Amino acid sequence: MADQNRRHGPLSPPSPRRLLWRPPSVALATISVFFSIPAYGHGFGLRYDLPLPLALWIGGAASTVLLSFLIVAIAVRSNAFVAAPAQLDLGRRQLRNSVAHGMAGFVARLLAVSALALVVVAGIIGEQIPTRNLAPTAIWIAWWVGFSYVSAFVGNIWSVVNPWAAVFDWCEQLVCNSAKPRTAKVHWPGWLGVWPATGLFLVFAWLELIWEGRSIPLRLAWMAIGFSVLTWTGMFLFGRRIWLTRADPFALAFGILARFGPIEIRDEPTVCDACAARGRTATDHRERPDCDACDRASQSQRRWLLRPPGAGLLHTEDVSHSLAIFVIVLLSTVTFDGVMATPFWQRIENAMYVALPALGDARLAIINTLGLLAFCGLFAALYRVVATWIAHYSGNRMTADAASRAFVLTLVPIAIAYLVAHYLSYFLIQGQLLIRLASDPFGFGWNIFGTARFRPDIGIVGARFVWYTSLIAIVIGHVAAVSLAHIIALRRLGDSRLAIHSQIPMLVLMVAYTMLSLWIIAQPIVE
Amino acid sequence: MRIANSSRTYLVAAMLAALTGRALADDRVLHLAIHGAKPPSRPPVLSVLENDRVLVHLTSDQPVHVHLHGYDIESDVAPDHPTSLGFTANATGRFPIEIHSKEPHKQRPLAYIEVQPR
Repeated sequence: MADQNRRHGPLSPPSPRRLLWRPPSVALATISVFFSIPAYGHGFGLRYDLPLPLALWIGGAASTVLLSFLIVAIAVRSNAFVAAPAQLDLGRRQLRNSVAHGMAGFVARLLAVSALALVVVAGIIGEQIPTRNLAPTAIWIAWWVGFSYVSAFVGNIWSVVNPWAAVFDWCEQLVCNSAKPRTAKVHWPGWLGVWPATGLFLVFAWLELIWEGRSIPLRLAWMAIGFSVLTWTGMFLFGRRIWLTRADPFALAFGILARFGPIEIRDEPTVCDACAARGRTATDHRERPDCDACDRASQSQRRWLLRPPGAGLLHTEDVSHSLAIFVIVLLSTVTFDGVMATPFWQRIENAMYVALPALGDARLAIINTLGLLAFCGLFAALYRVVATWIAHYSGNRMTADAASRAFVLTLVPIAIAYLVAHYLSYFLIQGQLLIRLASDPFGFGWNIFGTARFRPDIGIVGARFVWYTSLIAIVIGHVAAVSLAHIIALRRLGDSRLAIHSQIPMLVLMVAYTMLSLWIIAQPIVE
Repeated sequence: MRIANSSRTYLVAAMLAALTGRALADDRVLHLAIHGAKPPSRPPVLSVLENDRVLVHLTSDQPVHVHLHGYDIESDVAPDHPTSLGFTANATGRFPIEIHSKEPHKQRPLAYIEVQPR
């Protein structure tokens, strides 16, 4: 019987015997039939995680609550939390003045631009089987999950290598002369805030979680081309810095996660020679960054600073109302990805599917889209209630709006913990496809590095490792969140009793958010 | 009398041997009958321990192609052609068995194999 089982597909290369006897075109045609259905979950690829056992779930929940109370109890006694965290300069001068630094930056950006180009070309000319083409794995696993991890645990490396910004810079430097730098064509209205980035991020989340074409290489390539055109047009019209800080969903998303990271990459506001001659100051550039040459000058004054993890989330001065909403949207879409794979959501989906026959074939997509929007709305509404509650408990020393802007970043550690819990094994298992795809990015049967037959090891991390890593990550994320919120409350309100009172609503929200994260990883995954 | 007795003893011994033989093989078996090339409304879950030997017997009233994800084992099943997927569960996780067809719609799995760590 067993010999009737044909083994092939992404995780098992064809047996040598079959390779000998079948022409590759036949083998590929057979595979393409089996992979023509988008049987993939979020973004791309399946997760094989076992649900977190009940005992661990209870242990995680109990330690979360216990540690929260411990932190509060310690905070009651001491104000030591308020002290500014230490930071270590990783050597601005040495780095800035060395040719090596400039070269390293250039090489990193060149690699990123080449990777982007390779992904687009693979998507267009390559084999359209998701696992045989570089595009889906490179986009969903290496770039989206990978850079989320790099941002959260290293720093905002994306801001250094961003290929769209790099190409724009190079073109601008070629076309413009330094004596008369190009300034933004259109003024970015203040009321617009970061709403465009929020909207684009929602579109991206929809593409990742709901779109049928998310694993089809050609469609992904077109999305990348579309985003490139949009980005370069936006940078041209509004100026590079404005676009990157107000409209680019990825620069913002990775930037927010990177505030947790231990390395701070800080651009010192500087003006270019032409602007300096016109009497423009660094402060002017910070307030209205509409000159791209000044922006590049600021970047050349870049400092790399080492700080305690999470310390970057204490800088809440620049959090506008729209940025607070962006953070909530980022957190809720990431969580909704997990919710969608639970039996609970499956039941809602089924019930609505039966109840809404009028919607036809698009029913599933419509139900999930409504779910995504409802989940973001619910999260935002809950957060608003908590902010109002904080304002009330702070003896009205803080408005609800100020409270919502001050505390929103403290939720980021829980989201990062959830990213670890939810994606780690997926990242480690599906990420191995890159080893194979590096040798054959287009699915043409190449074997450039001799790894085209590499078979990913689905047992690379065991269930126990995943369970304990997830649990520890979520508990640590929770502790970090509660501690950060306390520091911010103490700084803003001064009085420690008032700070603790004002933190009760935030604590309730954080415990609820942590419980939701734990609940999701304790659910069997339904794809 | 003596002969009848000994034959009965022999029979019991043979049955015992058969039973222990099965137990020693330590196979975890799941029987799946597919009707109308459609997954059941509630996919069954076979829970096994790491390194168990797993056997999934499949029958179908229509020709279908099934795929066990993760371990990546595929097989055709047809009315006159039942099949078995056999493997050693050396990786932990929750692995769906799905029908693969050309129609691009969301398929529920036929069953899940849950491999728990030892």
